[in-house]
Amino acid sequence: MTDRDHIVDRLADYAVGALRGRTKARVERHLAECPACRRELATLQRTGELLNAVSLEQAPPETWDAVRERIGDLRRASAPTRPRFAWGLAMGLAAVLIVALGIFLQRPTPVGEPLLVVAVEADDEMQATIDGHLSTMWAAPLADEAAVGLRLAEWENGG
Amino acid sequence: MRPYAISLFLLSLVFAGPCLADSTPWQAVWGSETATDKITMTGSANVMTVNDGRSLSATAAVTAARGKIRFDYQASKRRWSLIDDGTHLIQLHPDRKTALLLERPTLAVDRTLAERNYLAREEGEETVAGRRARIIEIAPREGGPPVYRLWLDRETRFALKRERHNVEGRLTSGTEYTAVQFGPAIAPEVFAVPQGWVTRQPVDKEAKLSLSQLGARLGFAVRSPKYIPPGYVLLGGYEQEWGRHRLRMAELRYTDGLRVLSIFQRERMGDEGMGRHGARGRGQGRGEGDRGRGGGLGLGPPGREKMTLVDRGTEKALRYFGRSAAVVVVGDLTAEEIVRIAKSVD
Repeated sequence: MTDRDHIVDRLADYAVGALRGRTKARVERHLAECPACRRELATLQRTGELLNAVSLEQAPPETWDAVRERIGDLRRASAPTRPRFAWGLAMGLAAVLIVALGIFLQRPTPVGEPLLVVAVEADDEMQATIDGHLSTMWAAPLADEAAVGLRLAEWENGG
Repeated sequence: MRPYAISLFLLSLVFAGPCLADSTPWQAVWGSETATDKITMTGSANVMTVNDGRSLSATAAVTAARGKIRFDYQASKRRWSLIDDGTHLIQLHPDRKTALLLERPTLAVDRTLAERNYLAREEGEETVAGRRARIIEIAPREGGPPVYRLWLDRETRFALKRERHNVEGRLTSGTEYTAVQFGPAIAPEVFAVPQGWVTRQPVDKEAKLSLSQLGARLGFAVRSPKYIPPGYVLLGGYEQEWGRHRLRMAELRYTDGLRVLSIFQRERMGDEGMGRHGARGRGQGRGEGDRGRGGGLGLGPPGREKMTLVDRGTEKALRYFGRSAAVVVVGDLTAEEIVRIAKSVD
């Protein structure tokens, strides 16, 4: 049988129900004609039943400690040696990047000089400050009181 | 020396005294500031000023005595009066029979500061309101157009005519007497609120405060500008509250001896005055001129800062949103100087 080997390769998957579709159908056709493969399948199925019958036991703690220690030994043995300054350099570069990013985000003029908008009308806040400034002008040295009074009257009458 | 010669010398000193006192232009100028402390006068004047970019004019009947002065204005069909009684500025509205009492501001300006920063020059004589007047021009020592031109009465030092120019040399206010009388009897009631009128007094007396005191009252750190134009000195800090929204701000007031510079600050609210690059694009600021530029990724620094400039002719006002404070600078300065001052507060 020329495809027997292929079927043997699939028997383990078939035994645990992992095959689907046409692959599963071909394996079943072959099993129907091949007593040797049926025996092989029966052996696999019994082995599985035996494994399922075995109960799991908790390993003692020292076992896991030994495993971790062994893994650590293997890592140290396989890892290339890194100089300490490399870690420091990386940290330093990261700090510089963070500072530079902070400066970039906080910079007050990200798109050049502030945009100067010349307004014809003052809003409430600016008008209040202009009025406040005007009232002090009355007492300024050499103030033209008659002219300042004219503006104050405009202010009182809402401009 | 014969006795009559000595008497003649002493007499000449007595009569020449006032003239000697006015021997320099600055002495004449400062003499005009206190002219009405010693004399009484009545007169009428033409008054003009620039407000909000337009010219205002009125005629005024003027009464002055013992350091007090009253202006009775007439403009078109409107009439109103303004009294400075040394304590308050009193606005009288005869149509409504109301009086508004404003705290009279005080500016303790050292006169030598003005003399250090400005030059007073004699520019000849003219006749104003039928009287001989010395013309004195006051201009910055460092150059630039004159700030004031004064026509001072030769006899009393009273300013019969006055012109004020802004930093660009534009005439921004002027008062010229057309008639004047010195020495009339003036009743004290002229400078008081008429009996039975309604009186309003909306403004509390302002108190001079330090930066830390201002900060404690307003709840934010009030900053001192790092740049002030040469010649200006600090007069004081004040807490101010104005307008419909009762805006509370700190004011730092400076002077160069003649001009006054006011720097107002309040806490900045959120990202007002600044757009943000990104997702929402344009127009994320608040208020006038706050439009953002947009077009970015929505991740990044605040958008381009905004400054709003209002030029009233008599002075300019500029608002700048710094990192933590909103700053408004008001003064008769070039736009470049005002921008520099505002940015230095941040």
